[in-house]
Amino acid sequence: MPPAMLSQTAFSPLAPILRDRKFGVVLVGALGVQGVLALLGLPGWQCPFFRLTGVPCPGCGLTRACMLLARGDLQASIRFHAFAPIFLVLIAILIVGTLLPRSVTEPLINKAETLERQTGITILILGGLILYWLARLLLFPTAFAQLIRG
Amino acid sequence: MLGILALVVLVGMIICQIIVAIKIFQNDGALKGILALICGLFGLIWGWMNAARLGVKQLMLIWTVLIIIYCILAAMGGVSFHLGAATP
Repeated sequence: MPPAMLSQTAFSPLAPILRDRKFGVVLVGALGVQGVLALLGLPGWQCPFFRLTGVPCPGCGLTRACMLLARGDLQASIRFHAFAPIFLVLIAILIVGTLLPRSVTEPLINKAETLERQTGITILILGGLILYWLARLLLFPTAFAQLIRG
Repeated sequence: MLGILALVVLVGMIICQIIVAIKIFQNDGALKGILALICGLFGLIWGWMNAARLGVKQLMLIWTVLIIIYCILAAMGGVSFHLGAATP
């Protein structure tokens, strides 16, 4: 990717993801399969980092937290991962962006891109996710690992 | 024996994920790179869909084969260092 194009998309990664319909369909499909497997209690995508080290990664617990939130159990969901509501909204945006016709989604994607650039919301979310993970890891290491282990 | 094999496969999977995340970081920006590092599923799909552009076709193939081998080993019960159901 040319440097000029990279600088345009580097800090607004959500919009290019939403524009790439093929990627959106595959990602939504994979997340759907992951969700169904989690609902059925079957092993889905496993975190290799946690499997190997026993230390949860920043995304560990998100699937279960999102599933709990989708069922309406906000308290249990937040206990697993506080970022579940944000990710559920992002997944909903991804599904809408993938399913609706291009003529409808393009203005919305443009708005999302402007919002991302002006507020740096994606950087804030990812930064917050890392800080949240570090806080759990440093303040409650045993409880955090036990919660993820199930 | 199967447990050791699964451990080796797991290390290989993590190395592949890190290399792909670095490639995404270099080509598509820091945020997507971090996302690929945090969420392996994102890295796997993004990596495959942009394999030619990123120049990671062989690496993606190795990573996918390792994931399949790990799944087979897990199904065979050879994952003795199993730490529990760590669904992301």
